[in-house]
Amino acid sequence: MGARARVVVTGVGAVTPLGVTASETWQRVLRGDTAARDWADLSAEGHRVVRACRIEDFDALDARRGRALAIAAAREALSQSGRAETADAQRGGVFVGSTLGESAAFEQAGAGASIDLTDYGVRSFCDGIATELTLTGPREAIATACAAGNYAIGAAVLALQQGRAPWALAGGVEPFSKLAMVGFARSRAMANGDCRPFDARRTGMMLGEGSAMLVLERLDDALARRTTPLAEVRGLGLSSDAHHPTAPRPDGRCMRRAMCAALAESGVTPADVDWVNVHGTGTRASDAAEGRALREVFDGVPMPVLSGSKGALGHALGAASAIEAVLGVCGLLDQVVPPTRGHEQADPEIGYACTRERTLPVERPVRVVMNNAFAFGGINSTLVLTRWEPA
Amino acid sequence: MSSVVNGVPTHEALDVSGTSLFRAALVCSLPHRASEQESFDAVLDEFVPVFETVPMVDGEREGALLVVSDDAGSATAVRFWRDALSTGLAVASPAAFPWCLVNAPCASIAQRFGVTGPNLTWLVSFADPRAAFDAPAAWLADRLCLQLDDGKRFDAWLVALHFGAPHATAMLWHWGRCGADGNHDEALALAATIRDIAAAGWISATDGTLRLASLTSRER
Repeated sequence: MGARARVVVTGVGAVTPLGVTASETWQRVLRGDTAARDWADLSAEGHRVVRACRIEDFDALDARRGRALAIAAAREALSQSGRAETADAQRGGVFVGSTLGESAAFEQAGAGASIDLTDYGVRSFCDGIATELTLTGPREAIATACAAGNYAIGAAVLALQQGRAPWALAGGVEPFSKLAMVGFARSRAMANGDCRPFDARRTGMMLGEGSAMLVLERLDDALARRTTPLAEVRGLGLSSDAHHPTAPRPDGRCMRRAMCAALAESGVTPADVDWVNVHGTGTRASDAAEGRALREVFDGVPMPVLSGSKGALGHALGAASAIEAVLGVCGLLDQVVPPTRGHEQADPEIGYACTRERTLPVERPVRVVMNNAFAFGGINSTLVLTRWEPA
Repeated sequence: MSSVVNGVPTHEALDVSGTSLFRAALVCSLPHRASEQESFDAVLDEFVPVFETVPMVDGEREGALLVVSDDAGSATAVRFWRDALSTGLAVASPAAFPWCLVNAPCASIAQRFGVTGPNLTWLVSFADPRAAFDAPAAWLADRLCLQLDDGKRFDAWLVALHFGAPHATAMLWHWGRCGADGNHDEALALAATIRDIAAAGWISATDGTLRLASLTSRER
């Protein structure tokens, strides 16, 4: 097996319903806030479900909202990394995951507008970032639904290890989608009220929106330019349920496989994991399957601290796992695991509770975080991030 | 065996270290149907011989599925929303919703053929066919050259899809390899080879010069 370059995070950015920066989002998630509320426009339009997490006070054309969100997150990440001032600033790659692209454009086309939709799909986010920031490196538009952020980060890591780019912006974006509101609501996937990850009384998911981007580069390059990494990306595990178009495999065995593959690629054991950011959509089936998978992965070792963000931020679909990766980086930096908004009562079927309070390390630092993301189509992903610790 | 698919040399070009295999390629016209899902379902039977070269074990087929498309989900999303506006948002049928997602075809293949490995979908532009296959080729080459332990085997299926006019087409390749230590240079060379073969095949298929072809180059 060939030697692989280590890849680190040197900048993060996020625009979410709880903040227009990664830092603001992180502080509000730490406080246990939620952006959930009922929306009058959705009610007026006749949506069955009107509760969601949306970003307020963010100006953009409806059909370019996703691009604007992605650019804003990318600018923040780039600024923190200092990569814009380096000699190879223009050679950065762009790797973006999303579920539906610019949903509003597809909705306008469905309502009869004449729109060339080829410029509104997931690729348009890559093109928008690259054009805005004048980047000439490789671009990958990854359409793996609600796990797309993890996949995009993994794709960027591979490109860096293969030498296809000196650095990369990687993450996910999902503008608010009325189409998804209808699709999930009519599929009976939406919560009756708030999202309650892993809770005994959970009734479903709650839609969100947002974008998160990470600047990734090879460790040697980061150190050579005297930049302190924020965290290290250690591995990505992928699998497919091959079971059902929308429902997860109930036994969670392919979720477990993704988690185990991520740990193996990362060179860490289950006992090394300090924190699992659960996918935790709040649906009965998905949370139960994830709980079973976690039970098997951590059989024989203490269960790490579990937390989930979708009660606070909603489910931002293709952006969700990128946002959660940014939260993971923030937690590794601040050495704290955030509370799980909406989780109040552990589900005996799952067998494990998520943390309801911010959790500080007791016996050892928070070094290893697993970021789970699963999606329609039965695709499973787990990303492993580790604390940056100089040798 | 020296073979040619769509006029493109296959086995020789891929035989980087003497252990690479190029198993099969298949091109199908996607028939006109009422939806992308129905159109795609209509050709899945054609894929059977290509997948069945890898046996199922306990209902699962090991391997990776990689899909590139420039328009999967697009027509379904527009139609889904049009129908929802027509019927009323609160009572819209959810049946087509999963196929609004670009990765629905990849999920459908995985379920039909029991493929439980990595499952990736890229949205690409076929205006530059070589660029369209860059990412999956790089991913594949990494797996085939740098992530295979000795004695282990890896299989992957790459699917290219275009649902719209003028040539609604599905193209499927099966790549496989038994493990051997590879290196970075070999991976780069293999990525370029896979990319170029896929791009040339896709150009040939969508030019209308080939509508149905299948080939198995050699036994493992």
